[in-house]
Amino acid sequence: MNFDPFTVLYFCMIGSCLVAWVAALMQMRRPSLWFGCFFTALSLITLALIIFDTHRLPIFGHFEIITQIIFLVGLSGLQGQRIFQQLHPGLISPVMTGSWMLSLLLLILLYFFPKTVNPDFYMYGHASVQVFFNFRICAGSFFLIGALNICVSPLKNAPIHALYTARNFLLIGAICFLISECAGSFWCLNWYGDSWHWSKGFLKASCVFMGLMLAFHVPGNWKWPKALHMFMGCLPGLGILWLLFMH
Amino acid sequence: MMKRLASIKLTFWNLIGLGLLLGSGAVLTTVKSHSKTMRAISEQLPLDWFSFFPRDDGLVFTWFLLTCLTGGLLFINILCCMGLRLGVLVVNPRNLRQWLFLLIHTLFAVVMACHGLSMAVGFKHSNIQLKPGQSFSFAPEDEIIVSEIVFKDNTDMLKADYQTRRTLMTRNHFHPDQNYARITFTRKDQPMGSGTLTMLSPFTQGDLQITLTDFLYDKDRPSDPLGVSLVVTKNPVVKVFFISYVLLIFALILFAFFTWKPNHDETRFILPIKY
Repeated sequence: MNFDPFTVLYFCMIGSCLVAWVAALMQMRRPSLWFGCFFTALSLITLALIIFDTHRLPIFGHFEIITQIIFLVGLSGLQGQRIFQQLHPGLISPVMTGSWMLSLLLLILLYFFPKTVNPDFYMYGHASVQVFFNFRICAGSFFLIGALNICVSPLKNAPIHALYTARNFLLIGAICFLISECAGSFWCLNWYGDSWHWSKGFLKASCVFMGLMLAFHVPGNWKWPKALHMFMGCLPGLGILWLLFMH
Repeated sequence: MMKRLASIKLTFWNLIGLGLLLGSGAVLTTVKSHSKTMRAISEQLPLDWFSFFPRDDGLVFTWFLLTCLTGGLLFINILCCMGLRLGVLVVNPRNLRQWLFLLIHTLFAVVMACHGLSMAVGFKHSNIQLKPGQSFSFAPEDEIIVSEIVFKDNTDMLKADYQTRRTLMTRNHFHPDQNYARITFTRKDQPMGSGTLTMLSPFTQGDLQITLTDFLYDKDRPSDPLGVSLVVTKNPVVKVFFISYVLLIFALILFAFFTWKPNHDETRFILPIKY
């Protein structure tokens, strides 16, 4: 096995994330927080190394995507715990436990893929290309954080405004997604002479956008089971996973 | 009738329908027997493709028609929804949420309209392969002439196949500003404008855009091997499209800012306002 800096950082991240999650399950608040902070900081260091190494923002590929997602998911877990602690001192927020679990699942997935950056291409030097790819990852992170808040909302110890928090994260995700798509259209205009292409990438992105709009357009007067409502809120998160990982 | 067309139930089912159609379109692009037809839609104005397509791929034709119809229905749905919201705002003009909501939907409708219009207005000619001195006529009196092609980087990367070329064209080895084509745009044989085309930096004059999509290398003509692949488009709504797109993003940021904290209605699901 090749132990380059990225691989070492990966194993440190997955190890500390596992400890943080197990500690959260065992209601050990301080170790969970410290190890959570540690792996979030490691993901930030990895991101900084990716940027330093490639002279661009993370764009695509499992390694770059997962590193950025777990950084944002880790931050949201810590922020969720900070807010939760004001109302329930000494307790662990299910949002934080969920964040560690989600990060761990993504890191386990990353085990099966190379821990390397993408090969260089001259187009990556253009701002519109970097914005297109990177804001898509940001959008994905926020959709997943939104879905996480929706999933913990039925729990007894869920934060009071978990659903509204989910709505806010979905909204930020939608803004990031539109910024990404707008930059992508501009890239396409300058590359192919048209702002839209009837290609797999464009059609998949539009399909995910429909899923995002569905989450915001569930008829309020329908007496649907809560699980179905929750599923609608998780659709953008599921869709973006399809978009990011099944390239 | 308007209430029915403006209903959120229609929006909901319409979004499901459109999502499924777009998803199945993505699948069609990967099916060998349909991928060529799907590519053909992008190579010209979709209306031209729709009007002159030989109909030998009935599945893609039906898919395209259904997608356009569903998109059109969603557009009507938004227009009617905006009409009803305007009525609410006349009664209660101090509701900021409703104003922002109306703004977001209006801008989205403009983006959608531009998207629809760009499929039907103007023209698009793809895959125009020219060498220095050659010209292409895209209208009875309009043509472009390639006067010069300069490629200062290593031309070996142009001889490689698509995948190899992609790995060779790194930022260190390919410099977009040093490799270019000079073109002249003429009308009735009179020069109307000239410019330099580089990768990702097209020539524009009014609604006309000439885009350099690739450099070509003809191995059979070693004395004069270089050529370019161009796309000539005329899209009168592209500027409005991007301006309304950016405004839509700003409107969403404003909406998120002003509705960040939950109001008394926070127990509802993620819908931000009451219908």
